[in-house]
Amino acid sequence: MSEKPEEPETLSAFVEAHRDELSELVAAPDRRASCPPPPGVEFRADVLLSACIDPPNG
Amino acid sequence: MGELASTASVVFLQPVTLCNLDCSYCYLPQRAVFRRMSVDVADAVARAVSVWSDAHPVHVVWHGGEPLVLGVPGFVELLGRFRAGLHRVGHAVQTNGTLIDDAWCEVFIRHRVGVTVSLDGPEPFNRDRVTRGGGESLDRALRGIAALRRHHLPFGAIAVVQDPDPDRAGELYDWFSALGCHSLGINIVERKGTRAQASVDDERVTAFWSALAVHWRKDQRLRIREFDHALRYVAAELDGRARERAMAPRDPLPMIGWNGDVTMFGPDLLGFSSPRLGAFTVGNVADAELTEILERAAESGWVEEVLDGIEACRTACDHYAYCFGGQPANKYFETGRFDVTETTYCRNSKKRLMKGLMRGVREARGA
Repeated sequence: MSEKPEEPETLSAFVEAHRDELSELVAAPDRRASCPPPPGVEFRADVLLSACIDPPNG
Repeated sequence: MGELASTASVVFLQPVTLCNLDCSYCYLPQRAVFRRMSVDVADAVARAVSVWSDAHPVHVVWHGGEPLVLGVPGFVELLGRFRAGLHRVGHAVQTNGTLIDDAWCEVFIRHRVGVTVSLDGPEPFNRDRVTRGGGESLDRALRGIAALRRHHLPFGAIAVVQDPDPDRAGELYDWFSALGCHSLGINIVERKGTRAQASVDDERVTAFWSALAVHWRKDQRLRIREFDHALRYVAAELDGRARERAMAPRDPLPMIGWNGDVTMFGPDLLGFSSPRLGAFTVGNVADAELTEILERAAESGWVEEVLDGIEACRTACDHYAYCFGGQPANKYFETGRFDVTETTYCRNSKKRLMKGLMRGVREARGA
């Protein structure tokens, strides 16, 4: 009898453990940010306003 | 201590303090008085934005108060001060939608202004968004949205969810989807600013996100801002870029008030101060160039404490590459300090969200 596997403890380990299904999930291009960040800077405004996820006509 | 980027990809402006609504959960301290931004203040911000846009696109978000209270001529006068460098300078308004009419729509089209409407959903979801006389505001907002749709203007929506009831998540999703917005941001009610109300903080929030994810996966007409953000982290993790992402400098996200005062890390701290740390400002554009103000910002005691808090999150939390150290405003308004780590906001809008999203996606697949 096998035991039910436990979920990984860290977020990164969780993502790795579910690589296949998550790869499928993020594959759709329209779910990626279309606001390019400044060079070397991670874009943060997406946590604040949806207006900044989809720049108008951008 | 965390590092701040030397330029900003997004700049928030408060063209006017007044809001024509009086939402019960609103935290803005000056929303009952009319103070408007001068052309001189707009010019000072525009000089910095023009320089930054030589290096990368910059988005100017007109936030308020209710920015449309300014009226078309006043708004166009301020907006017209901005010039792009080598990259685009985009404009967006965060509005309650109640003042949008054909004249505003023509402004949005002519100046390519993006629109995000704050709206909590059908009644009773929207009951906290009331006029200054205490009346409901939904019909007025819907009239504004009807104008946007007549002019074929795309728009986003942001909803505050007071009661994250998993059984009503689908209803909320379907309503916004039918409304015609392209994306929906969801803010689980927070303890912020002048409103010290308790926030929900339990596993119902996970179940809410999960139920929302099920509807989203099955329907997919509407983008959910929070899911977009979570999936960008997942994509980075899968591509092996998560560590690099976690080490990137922090975007300063300056917010410039009507009088030229500059705060940082988004709009939420504008107008607030602490007995221990003083006013949450880093300068005024009447006294120095915005670029110089931001370059010196880390010398301010409260900014130093914010950066310490971000670094503490980076060290302590395995979600850092996803959330980048949380929202300083939530840390302060929940605990009275910036150099703390986990908050209720963290749990509800990051950790439970990620957990609920994963659960919902699996459920939608029938796994």
